[in-house]
Amino acid sequence: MEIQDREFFVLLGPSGCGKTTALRLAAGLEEANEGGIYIGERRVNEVAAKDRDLAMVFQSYALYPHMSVYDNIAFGLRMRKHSKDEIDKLVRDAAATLGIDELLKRKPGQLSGGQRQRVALGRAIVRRPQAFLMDEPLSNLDSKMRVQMRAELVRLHRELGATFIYVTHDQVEAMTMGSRIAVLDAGRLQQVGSPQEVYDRPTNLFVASFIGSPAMNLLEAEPAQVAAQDNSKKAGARAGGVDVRLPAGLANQLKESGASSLMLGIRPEHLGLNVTEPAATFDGQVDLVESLGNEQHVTLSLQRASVIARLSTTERIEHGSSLQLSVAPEHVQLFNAATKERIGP
Amino acid sequence: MRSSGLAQRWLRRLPSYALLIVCAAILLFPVYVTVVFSLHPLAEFLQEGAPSLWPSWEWNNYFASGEGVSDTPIGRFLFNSLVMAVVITAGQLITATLSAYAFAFLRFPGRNVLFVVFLATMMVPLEVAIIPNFQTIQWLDSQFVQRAWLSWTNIRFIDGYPGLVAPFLATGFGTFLLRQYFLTIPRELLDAAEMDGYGHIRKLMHVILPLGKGALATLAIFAFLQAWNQYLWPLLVTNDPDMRTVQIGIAAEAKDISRINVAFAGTIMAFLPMLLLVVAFQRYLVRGLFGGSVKG
Amino acid sequence: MTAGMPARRLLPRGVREFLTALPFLLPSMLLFGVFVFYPLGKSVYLGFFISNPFRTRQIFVGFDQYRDVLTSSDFISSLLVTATFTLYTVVPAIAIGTFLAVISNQKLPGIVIFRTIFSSTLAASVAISAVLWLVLLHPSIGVLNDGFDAVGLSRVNWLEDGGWAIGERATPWDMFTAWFIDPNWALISVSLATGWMNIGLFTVILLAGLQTIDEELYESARIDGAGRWSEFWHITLPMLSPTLFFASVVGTIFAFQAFGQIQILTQGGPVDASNVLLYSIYTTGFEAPFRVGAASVQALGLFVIMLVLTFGQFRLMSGRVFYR
Repeated sequence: MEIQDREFFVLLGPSGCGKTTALRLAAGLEEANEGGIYIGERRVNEVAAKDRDLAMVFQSYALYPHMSVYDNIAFGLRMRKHSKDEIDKLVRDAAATLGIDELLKRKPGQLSGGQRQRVALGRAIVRRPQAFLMDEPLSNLDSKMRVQMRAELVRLHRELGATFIYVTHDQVEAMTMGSRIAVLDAGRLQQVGSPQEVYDRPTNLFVASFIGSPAMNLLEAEPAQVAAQDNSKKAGARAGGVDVRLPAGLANQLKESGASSLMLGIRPEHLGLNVTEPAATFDGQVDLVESLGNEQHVTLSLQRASVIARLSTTERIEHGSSLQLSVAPEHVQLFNAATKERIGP
Repeated sequence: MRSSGLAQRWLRRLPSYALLIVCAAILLFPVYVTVVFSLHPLAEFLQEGAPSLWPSWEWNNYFASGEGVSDTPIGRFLFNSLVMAVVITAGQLITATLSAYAFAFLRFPGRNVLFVVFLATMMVPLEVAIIPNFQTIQWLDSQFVQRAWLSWTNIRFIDGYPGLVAPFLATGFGTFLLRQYFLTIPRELLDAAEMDGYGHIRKLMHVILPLGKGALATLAIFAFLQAWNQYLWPLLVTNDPDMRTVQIGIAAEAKDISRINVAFAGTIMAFLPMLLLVVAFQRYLVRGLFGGSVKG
Repeated sequence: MTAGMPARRLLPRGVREFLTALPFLLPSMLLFGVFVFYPLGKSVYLGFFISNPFRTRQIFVGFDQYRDVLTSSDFISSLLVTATFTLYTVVPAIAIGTFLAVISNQKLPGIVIFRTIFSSTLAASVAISAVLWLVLLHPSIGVLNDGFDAVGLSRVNWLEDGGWAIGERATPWDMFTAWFIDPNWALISVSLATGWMNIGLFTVILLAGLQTIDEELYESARIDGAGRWSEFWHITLPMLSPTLFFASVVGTIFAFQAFGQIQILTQGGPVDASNVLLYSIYTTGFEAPFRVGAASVQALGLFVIMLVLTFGQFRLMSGRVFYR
């Protein structure tokens, strides 16, 4: 895994996937059993944490409860042989950047969650390191504060022009902030790419199901000859008795892959009521309608599975009624059920 | 209306208070008698029959020159006890903090085995080991007397502070107590300090110790109380009256009827500081009794 | 730290980690080695030897001394005295401590003062409590006998009457009845001084135990119509049982470590009426003829007994008090 300079790089994965370990390895808090860790051209496996020129923001903020905000921010500088005046200036600059100059005399116990978060950031930025390592820094905030701090972090990243390495299990954070995302699962790297790439073209079933909310619909399917628009038989797939027409390119790649059992992936927003020239149409009964105000999530039970669709609220959909949902050919994604890998571009 | 309700409430509480006061009076009766006795002149004890249960305000036993405490070795005894208790407390705090830090935060092979060994020391009370320990102290003392390269230090183990404190400077109980507390300190605090370039010693000084004050206080109270109240070991390693601790001192005086008034004053003076300590730090004491698991 | 960097590379990680931890552990390890583990081994070794009266020669006797000392009537008798002493100092003190803890656990203004008074005796050392009780029990100046005179009770020779522990009894039955009708006042005296100290300790322990009992249990009992007594018997006592057990084990271990109060009040006498095990170790090893080997054997006996008690504590209490 390679992280570019000045990048906002997000490590995303479910808890226990090894993302925090990866971060701690980078920080030098943990020793690698094998493999190399490089910063620039320099191998840093043997370099102590303090000499790697990194700063870390912890999930619990790790503020020292017995020190004032000022002392918390100055703590790291005191080890680096700065003069008193210099420390004072740096601390005040950092506090001003984060808008916490008023709080310098307080103890962490007297601060709100968001303020603590800022102090934790202040402690990191005051040292002006090459890179910032952040371990789920927003997970202890309430949802409103989290949205605010997301914007703040993006602004900070732009202002500081430093590399951010950011660990989270929250895909919204990853999608909104990251310039690139690395998806991890069970200690293995699954995919690296821009947020849009990862969303549009997940490389395997794990990434497909992990990214996106509501999650991508995944239906068991197998390759089949299906009737095309002109009633000729063409290579396609069949999922739960429903024929799925594929674009020519994808059909070819399916043939080349030689896969015998498939998973068919469709994003909920790609299922619609009036799709022209649909690849497939699913008939079913409405099981559940969840309205979010601006959109509604409709669960449709099919013969052997169910799918979720994201529809606009202009359609009135009744619970228990029967419904037809269709998908356009370009929005059909295929995965090899055996290898779990993506088939197609 | 209101005031009569209040009066009624107090009336209802009266039996409870009466019971509490009677119990307190019975429990403190020996203390009361000793206080009274410590304020009697010696003559009161030499006459026929028991001394009066009302003090005759003979403050000389405590203050005045002549037969008073300030003039007798009891002042010296108190000083010896203080030195012994302070050194033992400081020693236990240092050794236990260091080892608890290692057991709580460092990863090293054999850690669990070693921790069990530390815990096992709690099962060997000093009383079981007095004979070999006394021989060890005797041997050390003879080395410091006989060997030219040691004797210039004037360190004595028999009739000296080193001998009084040496066996008590390490503590399995204290290590356990502090480790349990240290484990509740979030690891991230230490990681943050490490990122900032703080080594083990600095982490200990700037992060662990300020956060572990409560646990350290608990250990300090225990160590001090135990050291101050020590009896058997000081009896063994001191012969010189000048090196006696206050416990040995008052016991010796109490056996001598001609100095018994001074013994009573000394008893009160030895008891009082511990009483204040226990009253002031009772919640730490409770925490310690339960191995640090009760929030005081 | 830069100097440490090559070492970081050269040595295997385990060795490096151990070397980092060593300075933290070494002070304690050295002290434990010298004053805890070495003495245990040395005691076993000393037990193999007897010294002649002038201590000029050590004679190897192997396990003979272990057998002789541990089966001697002196050892058995001091065990019996220690057991009785334990009973005298633990049972009444726990009962009183429970009572004091319960009555000072009410919600009343100023109750803290009483809690403090009731737990204050724990600050007393054995020497202090021995002197405090001397004023009550002393043969000439003790005030308790005067009080007995005043209410028409017969005077008691507190410190010098060994009661059942003195003299031969014709049959075991005589010995058993003597235990009740001929009190060992000397042992009772040292027990009073010890039990008084324990009351404070037990009150503290039991108050802590009481405070862990959920208030709702009492409230629901009150709704069910329980009175004070049935509250105590059906809620307090059962909920307190682990704490009571813990207190009794602590008290037992203290009883086996008792020394100062005996040395001050009775010197183990009269004859051996109050000669508990530790006092016997002391007189055997540190008074002429300095039978160091025999004293070591007794000390090991004490160790084994206390080990069993401590293990019993860990076994029975695990999860209840210590690691709650």
